[in-house]
Amino acid sequence: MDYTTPMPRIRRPLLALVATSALALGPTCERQTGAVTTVTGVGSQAHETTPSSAAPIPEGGTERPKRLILGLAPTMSSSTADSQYRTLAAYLSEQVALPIDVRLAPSYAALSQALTRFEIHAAILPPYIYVQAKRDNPALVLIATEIADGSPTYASYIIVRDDSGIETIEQLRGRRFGFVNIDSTTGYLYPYAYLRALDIQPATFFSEVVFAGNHGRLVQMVLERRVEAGATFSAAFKQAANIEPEGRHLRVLAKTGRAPLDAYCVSPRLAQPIIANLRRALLELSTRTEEGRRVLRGFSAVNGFVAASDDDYDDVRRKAQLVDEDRP
Amino acid sequence: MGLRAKLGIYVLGFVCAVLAGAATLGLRAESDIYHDEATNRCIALVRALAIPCTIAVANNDISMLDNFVVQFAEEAQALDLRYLAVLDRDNRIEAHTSPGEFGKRLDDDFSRAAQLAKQPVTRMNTTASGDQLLEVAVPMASGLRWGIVRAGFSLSSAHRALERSRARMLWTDLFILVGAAIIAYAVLSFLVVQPLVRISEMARRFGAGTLAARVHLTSRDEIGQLALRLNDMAQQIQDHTVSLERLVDERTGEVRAAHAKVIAANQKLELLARTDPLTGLYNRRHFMEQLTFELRRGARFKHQFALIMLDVDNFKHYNDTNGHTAGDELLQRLSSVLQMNLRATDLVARYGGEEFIILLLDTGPEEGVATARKLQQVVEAQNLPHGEHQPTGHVTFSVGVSFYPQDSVEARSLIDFADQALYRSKADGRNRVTRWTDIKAA
Repeated sequence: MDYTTPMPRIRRPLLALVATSALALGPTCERQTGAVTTVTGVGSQAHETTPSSAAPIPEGGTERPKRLILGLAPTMSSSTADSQYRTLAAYLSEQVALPIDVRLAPSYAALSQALTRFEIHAAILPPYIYVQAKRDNPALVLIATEIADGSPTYASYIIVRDDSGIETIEQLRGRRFGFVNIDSTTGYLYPYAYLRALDIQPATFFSEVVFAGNHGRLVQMVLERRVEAGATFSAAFKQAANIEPEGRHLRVLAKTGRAPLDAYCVSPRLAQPIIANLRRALLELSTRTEEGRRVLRGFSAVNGFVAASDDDYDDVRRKAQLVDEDRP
Repeated sequence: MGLRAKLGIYVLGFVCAVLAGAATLGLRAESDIYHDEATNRCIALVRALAIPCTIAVANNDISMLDNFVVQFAEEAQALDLRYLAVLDRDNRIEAHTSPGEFGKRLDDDFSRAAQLAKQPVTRMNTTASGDQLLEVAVPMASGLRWGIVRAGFSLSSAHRALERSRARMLWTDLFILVGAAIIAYAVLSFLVVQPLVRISEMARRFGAGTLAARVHLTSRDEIGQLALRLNDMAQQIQDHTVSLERLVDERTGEVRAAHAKVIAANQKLELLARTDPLTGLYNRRHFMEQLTFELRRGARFKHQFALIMLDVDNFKHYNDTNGHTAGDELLQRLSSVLQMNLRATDLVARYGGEEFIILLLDTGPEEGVATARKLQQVVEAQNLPHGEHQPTGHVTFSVGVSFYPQDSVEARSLIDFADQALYRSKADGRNRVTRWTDIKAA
């Protein structure tokens, strides 16, 4: 018995049908072999900025001082100012071809005034100081912020001695508490806001509120049991553990938030090229290079700098407003 | 139910069931594989994340730990990571991707089980918001045991992708099924049903009488073969029928011919039964039948007829004198004479050896006698051969006449009366006509 092949009339539509089925099935078998696919999606838009990829610099001014005065906030002790910032200033000076003098402001008011008067041309400001300065000098130009311990933010802790037996904030009622100083971001602003969020009025909750003056002093006060608890930042906590053997006896009682790092800003009156150069110089500086490591040796944790925007400091701003509202 | 409907129900029903079964099993298997895959990947991820955490915790470097966890939190969305928590051995949160969790205890069964386990532990949860949460807990151990890293991953988006893939697969299957159905339908129609219908139609027409009906299929498959065989069979039947019909026609012809012969023979026989061979006249038997018939007819319709009996005078003498052959000839001539002088409606028969009898229908007595006399006179005047040798000088008749219904209404009587009248004629001298009514009174 011989069979004839199916009529062409059927064969063609049949083939078409098979083909379309295959096409329909095809997409279901997604198997990319060999091809390297880039994973897209949300992730850490890792704080990776090159000078060229940084946001455009706002309009600067035209003034070219003979010597560029770099102001530091009063929260920094002068010894720190020497070691850290002198080397940095020297590097920057080279980069912008301008002599740079580091000047420690005696007070916030002085700092702010000096900025307004163009007696200070650039400043390195802790976040809380920065938002205040920005409020008073809206034209203040933010050019960079630090990266420390690999992170653009740092933590603020309330610390206790690990043998204090204190496990909760509630247990601090009627005890002594230490802040760093009234202008400190992590040593005052953040812990204050944290306590207020818990409906705690530090003035009434604690038996005594002490201002240590600086972070190192605060840590010591806790260790020496001068206060039962104190507020400081993560690096100080880490430093204490490394420097003093006694420092190991500290424990974090509460984490009061993460703040952005120091704001590097310039006066808007400064000539545009100088601003650009300063910024470039900062963004190029990092512990990836030998020079960078040399320059940053004085900084305990700074790895480098990234371009910053004013929005990064909004959280600080909000907390500052809270504190302002509390003040009579 | 047509073939196509049957195929539709059985075959496609079967295919549907198989596809559904395969799909279900396949989907379940796919789901299981996916789940295992996802679980393994999440475990691997948390194990990797646990490493820097372990080192930081071992160094009591809460600052570094926080920095790690903050970065993890930033990566969270890409990883579908809902939370990550670093717990010490008492399930106290050392670090958490959600700020504000520090210091709290995450002390559920899962944490406790994880703290005791040497290997990662997992569990699936559905959160209040409907999120499919896969939780993984990995020991933090670098030499010493420091606690656990516990993380929750959302499988919802992947589930959705799976659903979409499933939907697509199901649509593809449906598409294939519909396509297959269409193909099956078309193929069955074209290859099977249509040819069968045509074969069926041919058979119908053949059965209805169109013996020349044939089906022409071009394929050589089983149905094509059937068509060929059917055509052959039809041809055979047609040939057979045609030859049978021809045979039947022949036979019928033969039968008809035979029948005709038989009828002819019968007719002949009938005739022979009714006629006198010598004279060709009806015979007595026939006459008697007719007479009876006329009498019966007379019972219904009034009519009259005359009965005439004629006897050849001295016939014996004639025979003795001239021979029997001449006698026979004479009788023949007499038959002719009688016939020529009678109407078509008159019945003349040879009654006996030399006796003739005539039935004159619709004839009254006067007319009957007149006819009888005419006949008698015609014969006398005829000059028949050897008449001169007869005693009367001619060949003559003696005639007796009776009338119906006047004389009688019975056959026997009528004949008897005519016979008596004839006898009287003989007695009176022959060559004359006598009516019964004439002698009746006597």
